[in-house]
Amino acid sequence: MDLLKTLKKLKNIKADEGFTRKSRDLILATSRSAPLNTLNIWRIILNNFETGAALALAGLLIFMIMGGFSAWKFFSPLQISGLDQASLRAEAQAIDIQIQLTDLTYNEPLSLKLSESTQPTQGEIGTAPKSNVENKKSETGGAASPATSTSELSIDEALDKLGE
Amino acid sequence: MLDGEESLIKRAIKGGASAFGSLYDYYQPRIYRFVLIKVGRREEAEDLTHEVWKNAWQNIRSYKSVGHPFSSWLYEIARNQIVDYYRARKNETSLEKIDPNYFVAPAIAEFNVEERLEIERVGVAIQKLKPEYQDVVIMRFVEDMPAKEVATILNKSEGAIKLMQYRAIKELKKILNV
Repeated sequence: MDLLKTLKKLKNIKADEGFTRKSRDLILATSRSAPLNTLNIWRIILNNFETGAALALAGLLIFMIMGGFSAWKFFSPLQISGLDQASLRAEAQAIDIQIQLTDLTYNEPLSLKLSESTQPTQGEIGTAPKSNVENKKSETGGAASPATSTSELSIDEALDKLGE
Repeated sequence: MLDGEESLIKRAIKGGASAFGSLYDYYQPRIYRFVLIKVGRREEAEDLTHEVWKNAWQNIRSYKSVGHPFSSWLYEIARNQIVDYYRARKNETSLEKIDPNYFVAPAIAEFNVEERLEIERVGVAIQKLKPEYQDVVIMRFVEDMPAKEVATILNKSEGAIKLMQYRAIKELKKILNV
């Protein structure tokens, strides 16, 4: 089968003459106004809506410009928070004070702790031997130990003693 | 293209029934063929062709010639009509009930039985092609339209049309085993 030849033969297909005549008459007898009117109503409504919307938007824009509308003013974060410089400063100071107070409450126990921790240390170095010395003093009847005497001597005295 | 087509279109837009009648007489056979080859049934092709021309008549005021031939506008209406037809058919009938091997070649005196069977076989094969391949085969090989015009109608480049026609014929040969 020659495909292209067969395809060409399809061109001989024609509609039935009776159908063609009837269809033509029916179509041309159809009034174009009826469906077009329905279509036109929608078209008019749409056109009016579009025009109206455009005018309304333009009017709104002009109104906002004339009314001193400022996008920055409107959307400014300062305006949103509703704060001025003075209140901001006051708030900042209040925050500082709070920090100091917290420092104080934090430092107080720390200083106490430090003093507590240093006292036993002093006791260990100074007072504990002292207490030992005192204990020994009480034990030996007041005789000072050489360690105590050397500890009580000043450097000058110690040097003088050594010189002798 | 029909002689004095632009003038006829202008008159038809203004409501000239006789001008539209002339356009109908010239373009109706090819629109009918286009529809018939695509749907395969004579009665349905007649109904659809009638609807295409009715729509064209009712909407001719919206037609704007922007370098495209009038036929491209008609083919566009026909294609949309066929799409709607298949959509409605899909909703009404289950796919199993649609006989895909159905194409009735109209009784043409000059064709013998063998030729008629051959035409029917080719018609069925065309229906199995993709819709855009169908369009190209009908316009290029049945209607003998130049590739440029087909490209304008189908809104594609001339090169794309040539490629499509090559693929369509290859596909058609595969379906027909020739």
